[in-house]
Amino acid sequence: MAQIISIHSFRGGTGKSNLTANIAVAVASQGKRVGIVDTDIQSPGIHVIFGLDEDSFTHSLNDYLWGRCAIEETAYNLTPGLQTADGLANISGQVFLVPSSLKAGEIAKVLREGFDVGLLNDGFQELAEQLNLDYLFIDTHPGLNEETLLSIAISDGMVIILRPDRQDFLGTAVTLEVAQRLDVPEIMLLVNKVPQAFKRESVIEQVQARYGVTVGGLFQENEEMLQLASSGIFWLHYPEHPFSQEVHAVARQLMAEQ
Amino acid sequence: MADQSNMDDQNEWQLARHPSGKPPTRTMADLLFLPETERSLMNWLLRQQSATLAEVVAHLNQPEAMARNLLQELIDQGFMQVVESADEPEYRPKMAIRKGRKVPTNLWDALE
Ligand SMILES: Nc1ncnc2c1ncn2[C@@H]1O[C@H](COP(=O)(O)OP(=O)(O)OP(=O)(O)O)[C@@H](O)[C@H]1O
Ligand SMILES: [Mg+2]
Repeated sequence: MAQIISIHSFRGGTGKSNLTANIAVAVASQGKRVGIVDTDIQSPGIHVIFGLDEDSFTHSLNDYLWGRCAIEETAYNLTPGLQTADGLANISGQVFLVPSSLKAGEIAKVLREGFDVGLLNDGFQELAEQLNLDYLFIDTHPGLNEETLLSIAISDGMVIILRPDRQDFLGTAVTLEVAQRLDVPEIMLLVNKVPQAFKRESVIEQVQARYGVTVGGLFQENEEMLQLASSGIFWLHYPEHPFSQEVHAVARQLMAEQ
Repeated sequence: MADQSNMDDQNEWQLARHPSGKPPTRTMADLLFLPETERSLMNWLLRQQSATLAEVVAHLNQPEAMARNLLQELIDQGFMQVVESADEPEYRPKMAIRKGRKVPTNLWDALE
């Protein structure tokens, strides 16, 4: 049975998509079969980090939701194309992505007509089974909406990302309250975009004290990440970087949880 | 983890009882407003996708009559459906088709 892990943040731009991509590939590098679904239908984009452009995929999650194809037809094996700074990466597991469409018409159609939330649930389970996944990561739209609530409700583990920012702090309390009402078994907080000047230990202590939930990792804001600008998997490009070390530490914790 | 019982006291989470008649269409957000017992059964069933009465009874660890009542209540409120399968009927969450947003039609047409 695949472990379903959803990645959330109450506010946008916390680094959900980049961290999801990095953590998922880190888990796959341990020999696991990993799937990622982009449920951010309104503002998709994780496929961009993997270098997949709209022309290189024929099916997206949207097609599945409209009944145009089976869920497994929307999954792309990204493993052969993973890039390091100087060539192809070679990892022992497999990474699959179900992208959401970046076509304006497709996005508008979903907003206009809505879709069956139950279909999304069936799709996750079917995908995990068909691809024989060990882990399924769900990247989400910031804040709370129907697909986010579903992905929280069916998760075995949930990762909430926040910045050391007062608005993020208040919003995270909301997400946590909702997660508790949906009986999520495991919750981990990740603090991202921490200014270099902040003391790691005191940020972790503050956040843990505030929510009573474990901080699984802390990531500093860094120049290399800004330069990569979502054009690749950070840890494959900068394997020695502290950000990358932290990605692997989080991946290990997630794998230890099951 | 915050204390669950605490949260149920907050009236922001009270779900208005629906007047009898046709059950309303439910969304994921409605689920948040269910009382603890109903909500945790729904949460469990969402993960299972579906379950037979016997499985629900085993999960709740309660007498069958009580499980039946709970399931019927959820059906009446529009959260649950019974799906007739080959051998035994299965209970399945019925999370509604998400309603599209109300925006003037010409705006959508311009986008398609
Ligand atoms: N630690 C970091 N240091 C510097 N830049 C970062 C860091 N983490 C993420 N970023 C940058 O922040 C931007 C937003 O990241 P990303 O798209 O992953 O966030 P998101 O939470 O998925 O956003 P959205 O809410 O819009 O889906 C990207 O440009 C990314 O490169
Ligand atoms: Mg994103």
